[in-house]
Amino acid sequence: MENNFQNFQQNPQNQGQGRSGNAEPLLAKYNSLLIPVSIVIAGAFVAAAIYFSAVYNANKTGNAVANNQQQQQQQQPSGPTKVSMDNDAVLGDKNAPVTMIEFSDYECPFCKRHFTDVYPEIKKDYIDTGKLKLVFRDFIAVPSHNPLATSEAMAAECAKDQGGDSAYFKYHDEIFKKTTSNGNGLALTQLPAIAKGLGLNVSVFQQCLDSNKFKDEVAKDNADALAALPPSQAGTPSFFIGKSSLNGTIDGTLVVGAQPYAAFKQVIDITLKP
Amino acid sequence: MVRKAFSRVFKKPAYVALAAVVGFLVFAFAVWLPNFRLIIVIMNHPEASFADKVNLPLSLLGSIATNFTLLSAFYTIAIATLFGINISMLVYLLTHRLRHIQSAGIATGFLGLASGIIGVGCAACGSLILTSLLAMFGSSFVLAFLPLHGQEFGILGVILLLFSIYKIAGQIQNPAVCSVS
Repeated sequence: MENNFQNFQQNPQNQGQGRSGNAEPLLAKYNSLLIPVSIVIAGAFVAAAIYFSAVYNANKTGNAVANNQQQQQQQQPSGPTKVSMDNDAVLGDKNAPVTMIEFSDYECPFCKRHFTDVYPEIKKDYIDTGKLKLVFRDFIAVPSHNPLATSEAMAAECAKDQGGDSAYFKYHDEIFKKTTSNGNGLALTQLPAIAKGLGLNVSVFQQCLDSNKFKDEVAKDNADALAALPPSQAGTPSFFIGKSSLNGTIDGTLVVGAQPYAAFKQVIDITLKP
Repeated sequence: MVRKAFSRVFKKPAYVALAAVVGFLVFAFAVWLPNFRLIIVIMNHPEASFADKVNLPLSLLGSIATNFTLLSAFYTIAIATLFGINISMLVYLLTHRLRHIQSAGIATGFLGLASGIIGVGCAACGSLILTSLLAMFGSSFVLAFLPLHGQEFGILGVILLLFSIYKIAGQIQNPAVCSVS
């Protein structure tokens, strides 16, 4: 207080400023920094997220790590990706010039939306006309969709085991028509019921399902999806579209998500060009 | 107050155009985000014609109807629109050289956009950026506990942007003056 009084006597032009006179420049300085600091924080957040997501996914345990690193050595950052058909079910002419490998989850609502809204047009315009063959591979990206999603994937494989690729895709269609998605879209008791409706041997089907015969097959599909998909885009549905090859491995252009038919048409038409 | 600020700013077509352009760019970014690689591949593809290079990004814009839930489509469009409005009002404020600009409202706008960006992504398959962010901090399990699995950030973005517009409107209508003592 004594200092303030002395200051007042020596500097009468400062009267009225008091303590607020010292605080205002500080507040104004703090205020003026808010914009640039906010922009820097927001930008750093987004940049760090995108950068560290690659590091995080590279540290996942299991075969996916080795496959991922090996795959990333092969693929260009923004170019086609080598993806294999493996021994999965094929719909359409096996000699079709273009192959579309779909990584999908029977409990994913966007996969169902693709099946309902886009797949029929692709089938009519490209698969049924012999221009494109579809390979369906499993990728369960959302843990909460299990265990039902894996059960459905194994059930479809059990259908293929009895009736071949055509039985697989009939079963695949029935699952997508019946499920309400999100991990609890279908009762497990409906799986053998669908098999019965398609004329499959139900007891053989049930034995196949109960023995988890195709659990490793589904797990391999998952691992291949993780190896092929960029870490920041590992989701479903994902599609690799490329020219067909003799060994079943394509240089696939990646289309992510339930995109409209026009987007698929663009990519397929470009791929069809000689 | 907001209505008056709006009528001041948007009676000039330039500010309407700016809001529309910025809003479209934010919207396009959100919709194109999952397929940036595809766009780059097609742009560099030797077999792709000029029409192909124009049509593909345009066709991908339609994914707002196929690749988004109703909620995520709503806040994606809302964030794009509100950010465009935000930028236009901010430019008006700065070009009219109003003194003593209070940064709180402006900063809130950018934080609103950042929150919206984090919330962008397939609802069923995890927010693209949020999962990466949480993974960075070893907290990706948090997504499982959020009722909307990360879409809360999109809603937060809309709220922050609305608040920012309100604050900026206040500064446009009631610029700070030195009070007579």
